[in-house]
Amino acid sequence: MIRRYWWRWLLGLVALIGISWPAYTWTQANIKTLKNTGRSRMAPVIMVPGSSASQNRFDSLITELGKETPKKHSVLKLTVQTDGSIKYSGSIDHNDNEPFIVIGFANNHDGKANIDKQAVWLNTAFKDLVKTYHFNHFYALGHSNGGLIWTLFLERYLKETPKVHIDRLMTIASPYNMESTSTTAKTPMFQELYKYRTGLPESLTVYSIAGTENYTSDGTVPYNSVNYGKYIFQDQVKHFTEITVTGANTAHSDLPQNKQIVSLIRQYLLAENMSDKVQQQNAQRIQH
Amino acid sequence: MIKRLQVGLLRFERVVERQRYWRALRDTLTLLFPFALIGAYVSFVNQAIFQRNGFLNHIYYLSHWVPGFKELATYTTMLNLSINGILAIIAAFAAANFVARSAQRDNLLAGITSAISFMMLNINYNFFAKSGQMTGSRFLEDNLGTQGIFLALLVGLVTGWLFSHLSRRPHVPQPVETQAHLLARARNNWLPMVVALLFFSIVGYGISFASKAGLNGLFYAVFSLPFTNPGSSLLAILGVSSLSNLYWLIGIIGPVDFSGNSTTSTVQNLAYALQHGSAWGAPNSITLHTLFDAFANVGGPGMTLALLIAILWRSRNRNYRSVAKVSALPALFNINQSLLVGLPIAYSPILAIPFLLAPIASMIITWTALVLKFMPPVVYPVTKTMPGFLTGWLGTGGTWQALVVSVINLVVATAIYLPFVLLANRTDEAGDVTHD
Repeated sequence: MIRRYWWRWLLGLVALIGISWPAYTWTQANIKTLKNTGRSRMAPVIMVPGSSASQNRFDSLITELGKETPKKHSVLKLTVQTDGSIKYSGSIDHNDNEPFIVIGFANNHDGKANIDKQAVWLNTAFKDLVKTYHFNHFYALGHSNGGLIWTLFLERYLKETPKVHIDRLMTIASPYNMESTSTTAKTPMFQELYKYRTGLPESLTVYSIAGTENYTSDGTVPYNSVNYGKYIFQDQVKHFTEITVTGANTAHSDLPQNKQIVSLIRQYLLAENMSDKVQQQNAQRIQH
Repeated sequence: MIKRLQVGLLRFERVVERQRYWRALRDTLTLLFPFALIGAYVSFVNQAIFQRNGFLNHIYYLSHWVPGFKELATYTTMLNLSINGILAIIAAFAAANFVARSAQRDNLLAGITSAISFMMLNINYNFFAKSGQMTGSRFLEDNLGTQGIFLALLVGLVTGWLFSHLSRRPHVPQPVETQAHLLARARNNWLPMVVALLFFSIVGYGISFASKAGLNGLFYAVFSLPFTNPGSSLLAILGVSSLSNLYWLIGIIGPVDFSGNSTTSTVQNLAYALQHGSAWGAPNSITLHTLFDAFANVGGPGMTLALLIAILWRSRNRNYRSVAKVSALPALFNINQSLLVGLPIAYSPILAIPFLLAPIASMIITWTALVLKFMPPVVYPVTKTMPGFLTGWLGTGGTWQALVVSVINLVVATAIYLPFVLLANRTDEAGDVTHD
């Protein structure tokens, strides 16, 4: 049998070598290029939800963004456990240079002591992400206390990863003076944020969005508390802009998927090209 | 004992074969075979040669020297979308057609009704969104291709059932159609037609409130639920991948359609390997990717290359041999749809057993090799069209141990398939006798 079909066996052998050898050399070449380039072109948008919210907090925001954005963003979700270990779900597409990464915490409770801990956990997750994906630029988005966690992280811990730079931070209804409605009383949380403010990166651009259902709050977070952000950021970062959003769906928990805020995120955080009309609308909202 | 098992299996297969709806299913698949075969070659040419990360394109640097590469890429993608992209519509047509014919009802009308019904289930309701301009297309095109086959078969069977029970009188095929007879056909069948169309349009509309991607989207959301993250436990990986293979058997293609290189654990492995210059000691050595994608997917899901070898080596079943011969080339590059519908593996009680067992055996062997540190895990990027038995070797950066494991897997899988393939020799003979 083998003698009769010897030419078939020969053909098979030639084909096998003809595939295996170039495949092997290609793999070696590919590994070499991977080693040299890394993934430095990637600049993720990292989101941190507020207290009592999970890593799924931004799902509706991400769907809203996905409806209109020209690019599809892949989504990676992390949950940092109380012992600092990290659970991953979702994935970043091979050729996605602006993926969304949501970092949630197993202990997501309110209060200064917890926020201090969450900033440390954010640092753990952040270092792990940098180690895995080798990016050197990123954008940050924080809702509610998520904005405080980001601020604390940027002031105190980002310097532990000197090669990575943040370009823009957007906080949505972040209570820099906690639940205080006062314009003079300073909570310990604010005092801590204020004390470390010189640690903020100088090249940072910050947008702080406040939602208002009435003249004083969005139903949960007092406007005056959001307004305290200026004492932290002004004269520390390159740009600091406060934006007030009113109208439908401006209750605290609705804010991340509020249409106006979605378009603000698209224009200022993702820096997408948007129609002139939308840009004008957004510009009108800003109080410089 | 084994003999009794064999006889039992054969008898079971014969009983099943007698079921009208089951037969219709099998016949539909066999009818789809030529299209699936053309489709398989088209996907092979498109995915392995003319895609940016196609295997043959990579290793021969085709995009650098083949003239008109970009145009050919577009053209083959078009072929791929148009042939593989509407396979489910044909399936819906054929299934209703066969069921109606077995009940002596109007099979042509049943088929057409079923095809329209299937399309109605896949209308894109976003198209009717009130805000601003129409977005997207009118149909959910993703659901019309191979991944819609299960739903299409279901629609076909239901429509066929409606025609068998609601038609006014049996259909008598005419050698030459007359207008009078055609009109009589319409008169006899208006009830099942209207019922089928109304039923599926209402179901489709109702589903649109729950799922923007239609019934199929809902199906996939539910069916892919278990696949989010099996972690590094061998049992979880075995369970998830066997479930996925089971889906393949009933024509739900692709929940774990190659989980790919993008999960975090895989990226962490790659980062580690690039840093240390070797795959040894990567942090996540046991994942769905390192076990299933790289070692249990040789020739496509179910280790189909082993089945191919078993058939070409020992089978005397003429149908098997002819299907296997023409499907060999795409199967080498892990494209096995033509074998699934041609043999068919799908809905075959006999071939289903090794289809599920062979990948499990491969994963256990691979797992053992990884745990004993006989070989490093697959860490470097591998592509979907990389010949399965080379994936381990190339994905570990050229470790010979991985190649040995791949070959052992293939031999074991072939041994698992062989008895079932030999069993099919006997069904063929038995079948011939009854037909004569």
